[in-house]
Amino acid sequence: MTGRHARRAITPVAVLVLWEAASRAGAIAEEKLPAPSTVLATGWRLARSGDLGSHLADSLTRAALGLLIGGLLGLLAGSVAGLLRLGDDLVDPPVQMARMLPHLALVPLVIVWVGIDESLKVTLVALGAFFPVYLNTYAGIRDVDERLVEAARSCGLSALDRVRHVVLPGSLPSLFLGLRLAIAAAWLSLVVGEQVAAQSGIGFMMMEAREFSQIDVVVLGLFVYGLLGLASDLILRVAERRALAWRVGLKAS
Amino acid sequence: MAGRAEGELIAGRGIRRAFGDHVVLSDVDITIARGEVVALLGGSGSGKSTLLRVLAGLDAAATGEIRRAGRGAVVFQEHRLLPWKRVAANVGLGLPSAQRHRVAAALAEVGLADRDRAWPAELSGGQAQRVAFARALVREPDLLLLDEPFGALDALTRMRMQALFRRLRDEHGFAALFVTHDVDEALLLADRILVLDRGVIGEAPADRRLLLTRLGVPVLEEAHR
Repeated sequence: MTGRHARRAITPVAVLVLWEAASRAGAIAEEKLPAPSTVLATGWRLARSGDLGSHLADSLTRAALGLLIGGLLGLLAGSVAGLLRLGDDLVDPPVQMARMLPHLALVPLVIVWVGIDESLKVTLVALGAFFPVYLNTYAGIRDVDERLVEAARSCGLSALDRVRHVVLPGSLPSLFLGLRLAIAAAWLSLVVGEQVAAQSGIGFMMMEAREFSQIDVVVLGLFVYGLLGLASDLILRVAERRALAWRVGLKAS
Repeated sequence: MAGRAEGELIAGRGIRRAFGDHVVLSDVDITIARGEVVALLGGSGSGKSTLLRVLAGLDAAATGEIRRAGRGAVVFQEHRLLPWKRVAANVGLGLPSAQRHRVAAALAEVGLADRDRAWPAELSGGQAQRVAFARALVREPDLLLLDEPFGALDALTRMRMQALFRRLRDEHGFAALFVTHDVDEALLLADRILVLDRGVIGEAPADRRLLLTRLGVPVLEEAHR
């Protein structure tokens, strides 16, 4: 297993080494794409000055707030549509129509509605997070095995208890998928939102750097986005493994 | 069981259930007395499982009059254990906390006392079905409703489960209605055999030869046995 892990690291490391070598040899122009070592040095410099930290904190706050709002609304709407027939008829059609719009196309409209300050970024993230959470909550609830619900009923479980013991855990795998997609949508929304109008954040840092031709800072921003995606995926994976331990048994048998 | 009054645990009259235009149960009368084991035979699609679900109170769309007495519990053809709950939690599902202590005893009765911490996915088909039995038993039912409870098991496991069923029944004295399409299983386990055919129910003889004739199976087949 470790041998395989090591083998999978060969290509990424090779790409980095080649990139560095090509930059030093002058094959890649410094003003087009700086060497990895330059980007790293810039990152260290900005981290020490505190700039990187404050930009990152602002971006993370926006992402967390937007995810919380959009995720909760998606969870609520998805539950209402998934659990109640009336909710399905009333909630699902408008949401299905709205999801056909790419939410980033709403930027001009959102600017008119909420302005260009913090609420713009949070609204964009919330919009991006809402749809995947809604869709996967809805699908997760719908896909719960009807026979298990019936068995729970024969054991005397009330409707509320059936939701708690059968429907909720049964739709949890789907909820995790929704959350994963929501987080991806959140970063995407931030990239756009912070480049439209912002005074802070990773996206702003990159836009500002481009104007001053600090390409190393632009590439650093990309690295940070990549690392953020990687970190959120990792955290989610650990949470998933804990919450869905029963599936480990499924794989083992 | 001592102290329990004699009488009917379930009495259904004029039970009717249709899916659209397709009438599955047209006018079914059925009674099950305390302590008796009744087999419900019928071909596939004859409505056996539908009737069982109606009697279990799981089908709100059926009409007719059903009176119930005592506690009931259901065992389905598939084990229907919740995959995200460990075995013990599955057995104790919906049980008042004052009765949770019975879970371990119920598991011991089906020979799975040591698997209480296992996930359902880690059990074999026969073990999972035994857990499903424990889940029913732990409710101390007066009437057990079983929908082809051994239908999904291999022949050997099936015979072991039939033996287990007889032992549990001797110990607890519960009444049972079990749906099956297996004539020999019905003869082996039941005190009384009912046949469901074209939406109506009829009493059937507990003699293999007569029963097969009643079911329309050529008796010629019998001569080869």
